Amino acid sequence: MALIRLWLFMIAVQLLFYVLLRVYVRSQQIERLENRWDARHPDRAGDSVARRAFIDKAMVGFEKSLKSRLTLLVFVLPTLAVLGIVYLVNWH
Amino acid sequence: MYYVRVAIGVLFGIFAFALLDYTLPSKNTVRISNTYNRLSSISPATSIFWASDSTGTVENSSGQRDVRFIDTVRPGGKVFVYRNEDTGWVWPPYFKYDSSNLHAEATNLKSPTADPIWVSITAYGWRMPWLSTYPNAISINTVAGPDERPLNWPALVICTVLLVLLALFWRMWAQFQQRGLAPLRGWLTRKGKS
Repeated sequence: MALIRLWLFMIAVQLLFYVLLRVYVRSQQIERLENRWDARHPDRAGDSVARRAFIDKAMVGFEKSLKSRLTLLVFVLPTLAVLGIVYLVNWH
Repeated sequence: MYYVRVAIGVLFGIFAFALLDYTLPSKNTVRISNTYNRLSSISPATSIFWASDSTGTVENSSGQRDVRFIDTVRPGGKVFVYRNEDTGWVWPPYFKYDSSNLHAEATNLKSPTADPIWVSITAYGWRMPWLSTYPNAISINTVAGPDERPLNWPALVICTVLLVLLALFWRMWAQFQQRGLAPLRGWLTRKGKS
């Protein structure tokens, strides 16, 4: 029973942290893309329809990149940490 | 208002430090002098300093538990008492359920003053005699002598991870302020002017 409660709690925290981390990583990437567009087109710097289209297209590629997919580790690392602690405390 | 904020900040700092000091593992070099079980009454006020019930030791109807204890002597001659309870899958997250094995180990390493066996006991918690609280022993390792103090690397690792997470949250908040809040404020003021 306690194990199920721990698991539910961990899932909830991981989901919350995953959402926050996704927002952060995506926001950083969008900022980087905006700066890249402004550096390439100094005459058309600033928010525009063309820049937004460029960013939308680039973000599709970003979602498939390794860096974007590494955020899924949020669901793996805590479980590994729990298993590591269980091993160190009870069998070491 | 300023002083209220400062007071709340200081109290929060003390609380965070106390929480870490209570929860993080600490290591002490001691000699085990006795191991035993004692029927102990767990008052509701101090129950947070004991394992949560139904994680190994069963509480009887009058709120008593048969708790394992480890009596130890420090190199300086002062005594120190540990409890030995399962934490199970509840707080603090040690996931300990080998207290029977640990007790057998402690009994095996029992030694008299004349012929001491020095061990390093990893534990978390506070010894407060006036509240009858005891640190919970996690693991026991033999050491060469009373002067040997093994590095407390688990606490260092946990502190490093916490600092990294704190830095990440700080960066996330800064990014949110710059990209989320600042444009929103600008939009609101522009809307207010028009």
